Amino acid sequence: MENLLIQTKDIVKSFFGVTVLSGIDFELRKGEVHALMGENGAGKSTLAKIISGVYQADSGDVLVEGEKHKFRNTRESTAAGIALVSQEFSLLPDFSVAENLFLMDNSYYKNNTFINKKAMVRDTRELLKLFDMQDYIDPYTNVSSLSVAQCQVVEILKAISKKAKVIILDEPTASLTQKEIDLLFDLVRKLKAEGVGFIMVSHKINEIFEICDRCTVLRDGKMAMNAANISDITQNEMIQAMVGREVNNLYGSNDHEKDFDSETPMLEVTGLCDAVGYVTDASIKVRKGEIVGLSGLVGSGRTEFVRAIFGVDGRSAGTVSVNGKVLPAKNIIASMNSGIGFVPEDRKVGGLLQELTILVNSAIATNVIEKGAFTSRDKEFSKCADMVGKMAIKVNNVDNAVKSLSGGNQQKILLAKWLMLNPELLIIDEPTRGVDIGAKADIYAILRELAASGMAVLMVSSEMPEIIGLCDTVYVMREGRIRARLTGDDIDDEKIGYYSTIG
Amino acid sequence: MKKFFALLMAALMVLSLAGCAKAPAEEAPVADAPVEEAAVAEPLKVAYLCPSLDVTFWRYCRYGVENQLKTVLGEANVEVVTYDSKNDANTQLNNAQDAITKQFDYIVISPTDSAACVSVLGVAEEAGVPVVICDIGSDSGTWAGMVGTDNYGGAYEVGEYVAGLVEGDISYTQVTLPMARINGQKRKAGFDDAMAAAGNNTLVDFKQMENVDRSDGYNYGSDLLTAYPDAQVVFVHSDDPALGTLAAAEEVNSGVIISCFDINMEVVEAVKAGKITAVGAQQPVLMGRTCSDMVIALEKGEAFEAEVYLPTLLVTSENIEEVYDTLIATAMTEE
Amino acid sequence: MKVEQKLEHNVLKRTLIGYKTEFTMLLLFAVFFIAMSFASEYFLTQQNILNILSQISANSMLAIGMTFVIITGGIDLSVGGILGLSGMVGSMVLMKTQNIPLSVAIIFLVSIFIGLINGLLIGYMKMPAFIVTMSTCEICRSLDYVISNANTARGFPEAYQLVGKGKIGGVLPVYVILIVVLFGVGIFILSRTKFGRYTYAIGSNAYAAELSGINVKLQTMLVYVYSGFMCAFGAWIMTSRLMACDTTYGNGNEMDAIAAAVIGGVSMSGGKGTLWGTFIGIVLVGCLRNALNLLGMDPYWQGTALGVVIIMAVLAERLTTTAKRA
Repeated sequence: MENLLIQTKDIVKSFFGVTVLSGIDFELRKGEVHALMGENGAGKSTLAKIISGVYQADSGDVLVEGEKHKFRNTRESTAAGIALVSQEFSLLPDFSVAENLFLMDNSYYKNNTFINKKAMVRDTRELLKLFDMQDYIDPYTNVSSLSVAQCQVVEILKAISKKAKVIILDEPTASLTQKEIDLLFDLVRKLKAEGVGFIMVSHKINEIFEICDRCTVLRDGKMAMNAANISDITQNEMIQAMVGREVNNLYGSNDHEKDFDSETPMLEVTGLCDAVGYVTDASIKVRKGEIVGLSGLVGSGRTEFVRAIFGVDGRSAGTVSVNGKVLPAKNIIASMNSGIGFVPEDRKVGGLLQELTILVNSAIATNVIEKGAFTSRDKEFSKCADMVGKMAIKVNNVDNAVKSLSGGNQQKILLAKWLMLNPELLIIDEPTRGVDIGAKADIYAILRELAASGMAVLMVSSEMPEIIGLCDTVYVMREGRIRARLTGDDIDDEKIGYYSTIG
Repeated sequence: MKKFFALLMAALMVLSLAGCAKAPAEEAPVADAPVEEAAVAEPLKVAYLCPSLDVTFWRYCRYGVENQLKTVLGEANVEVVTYDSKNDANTQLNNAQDAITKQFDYIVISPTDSAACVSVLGVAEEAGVPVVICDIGSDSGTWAGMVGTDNYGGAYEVGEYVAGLVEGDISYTQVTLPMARINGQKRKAGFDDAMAAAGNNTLVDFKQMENVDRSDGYNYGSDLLTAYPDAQVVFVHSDDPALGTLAAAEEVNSGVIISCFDINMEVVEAVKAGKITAVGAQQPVLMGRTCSDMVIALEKGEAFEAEVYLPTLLVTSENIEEVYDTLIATAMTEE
Repeated sequence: MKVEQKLEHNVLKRTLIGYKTEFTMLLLFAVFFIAMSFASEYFLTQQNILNILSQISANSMLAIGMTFVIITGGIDLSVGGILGLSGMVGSMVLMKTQNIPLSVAIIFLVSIFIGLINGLLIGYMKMPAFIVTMSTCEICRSLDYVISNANTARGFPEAYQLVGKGKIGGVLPVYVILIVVLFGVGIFILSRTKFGRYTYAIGSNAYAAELSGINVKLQTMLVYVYSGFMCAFGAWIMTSRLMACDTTYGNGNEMDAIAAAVIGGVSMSGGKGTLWGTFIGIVLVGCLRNALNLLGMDPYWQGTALGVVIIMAVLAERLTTTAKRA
């Protein structure tokens, strides 16, 4: 075929004797968006990095427009028209957008020395206009003050400005709001029409179905689904290819039938305002056995709200009471003692002690609550082993650093750390971010089981299906206020979307 | 592969250490040693504990100690090693312990201070190693020999000479060593006494240095020159600080007569140029030699005077040409 | 979804994994030690081994506290200054009163007090440890001169020698007992107590530690207090060993303490390392200095040798650990 941009033939790659990719035949056509899917550790990022020259394949060929290439680094792949837009941006935070786009381009320098900023800004404007983004990004702004979505757009524009023919998007929507995702996808569609090929590495199945043309699935470093047309497959088929087993109904059954309104609330928050001003006059109730969702756009104050409830940040007004007892503000230990567990939104930032062992990570919250000055390895080990078994955590040795685990298993350890305290209320912020589909299903099952056994769950999530599939009650936040409380059949995409944007 | 590399590095590390250690041994000209009864016997092992090799004065002492032993006994018959205390009493004691472990026959020490010297004398006495003290002295403890400088006499000589240069009543200042140090007290007293003996002369002020370096001399010197522009004479307790004071005086075109204690090559040039008028030069090389003489006498079982205070050499702009050769030989050689 | 898994619970394997860095350093140390035993006939004698322990005794106290501090991701540049000042205050009291218990108590009070100031500023005021401890070090050095007027404190009662020179039963020196006991206590605290665990947690991720309910401010402060407390032992040993105290004591000792910890595999970015490693580090540094003296190395070259060894030790450790990272 003449219009193949990228073709890989029988790629094999191993690290330190462990084969992570074998027999990979991948292809990308002109003007298509090709999804590259797989669970964490399936090898999709490695493949993307081989195509973009970060890694080199042990054997096999990478063909760009029919020509064999052996990229030794990203500079060589960039020259061949391949750009990698990953979550770790390669932008310089303290330089302006225009500078980031053209800094390495010698034509913007007078006598090779002095920067011609005017020309840079002019050309940046033109580029933005091309995609109707002149109002979205100002060429003079420093990259450090851009949002994640804006950075992503700048990265893509940078690739375009370097005449990229292939753009690899690695988890492009992980931290974007729906509006930003739409904007990004518009840009992708426009470029696609001009013949640019996209490889999209993502976990989010609904997005894949929205934007992609074909889909390749990797599992354990091997091909599990080879360039299938999206229109020919179902979501379940795709999930099955990824996990290698059948996953029936990710979220379990949610008939929204149980009525909690008559029961006395376990957690009651009234008129809460946080100290900084992200949250205004927010009130919610959570009852035993109820899973309550907190929905809204990123930045709507959801995370700040649950932080203020748990006592991480201070409050300027309002009360939080658990089982009728009022909690002091900004006192994490009091919250823990009254039976609240708190799984924060980003396990790398606020969740786990990455260098420390799995055992220590699972035990640390228990240490804080239990009396006594000493730690007991035997007790901790049996508790940890118990949790590992219960939650199906893939662990070889609890004395390995927690960072050696995959994302899904890390998330489970983080969950286990709090479940060891037998909390009455579990606050969980983005329960499945960066978690592969198999672990996702496990975590959903765990949360349902916990709720069934009488635990109250308060869950913050950006993933609509998660909220709809799991929650008995949903509060929707916008600009720091609670805009709606939805129960039963009222919980659907449309209403949540409505209240989180305008309603 | 990397593990192998790491082990290779470790091996290299050890080898390089061993290599460094072997180097001094090779220097000993074994082949040259005459096959006499002296060469058959074990060489005499002497350790010199030097307070700081950064300071020229102590390097001169080191030269005196090492050269005298080698000259008198012959290079093949003596092994002399210098340890640097780096101005730290703890390091000094560590070095002393190591020297004793290495079974040196004698220790010559220039202590970091007289109080910390006691602990060195203690470990040496326990091990039965005789100690000769070179300068500064020890608060207590037993030693075999002690060589010092007559600080009082030297400063007196300088004072006497300077007083003779000025007519009428003299007001003068001093930039002194820390007054906690005995040599500082003695230098100050010697100069003051000489001045008092020469007439109605007054010490208008003095400043104690902390680091005893050129910048101390410059800072305190310029302070004194500013505060007392009429003082005719300044006496600085050490050589480098004196150069600092000289720089301060040149900056304000002061006609003050600068005199000092101790000498180095730069001071010699300044004396030749008439910028520094008089110096009481200690004779560190001679001190080192005297210590070594004591060690040799101990070894041979000869009698010697156990406590010696060497005079200073008065060096002035007038006599510098005459005393130059002596000065170099007794106070300023390290090669 | 319940899956029965078999978790490994093998003590030997666990030890090998958990202490990989320490074993690497121990191996290096063993190589060095054996090589030295052949290179110098004096090295492997009872007296020399005791000498080495005596020489590292004061610094090893500082290194214990330093290890705790570095594990939290901080640094304590003031340990030398604290040793100098508390030693001087204690020595001057001892010189005037000849009262040993009083002087020792004062050494501890002064050290803990300065540690407390470090801890308050770093833990509660959130100031950078580097700047705070650098400043308190300067203050200590200066006060050292102020209170002593640059005089040497001397004339201590004979009995004060106990810690630095005394031997239990005429054989076992007190400083050896102190080294063993205090390292033992430190190892126990780090591995078996909540205090130790929180120390690691803060160094690994202070924010995550806080969200787990740990009182990060208090814990940080206590670690600096502990470091100050260990400085008191250092000052006690040092003044007792030298039976005098002048203003230079403790000058630059913080660097030896840091070097020991780093050689032993304590990570400057926090969260990683053990006192076993620090112990190997301090003994290695001590043996090296001693070895250079015994081999009669030119004093001018000794710093170079020491620096090269530190770099090589850390490099070797780095290479053996990165080889495993996939």
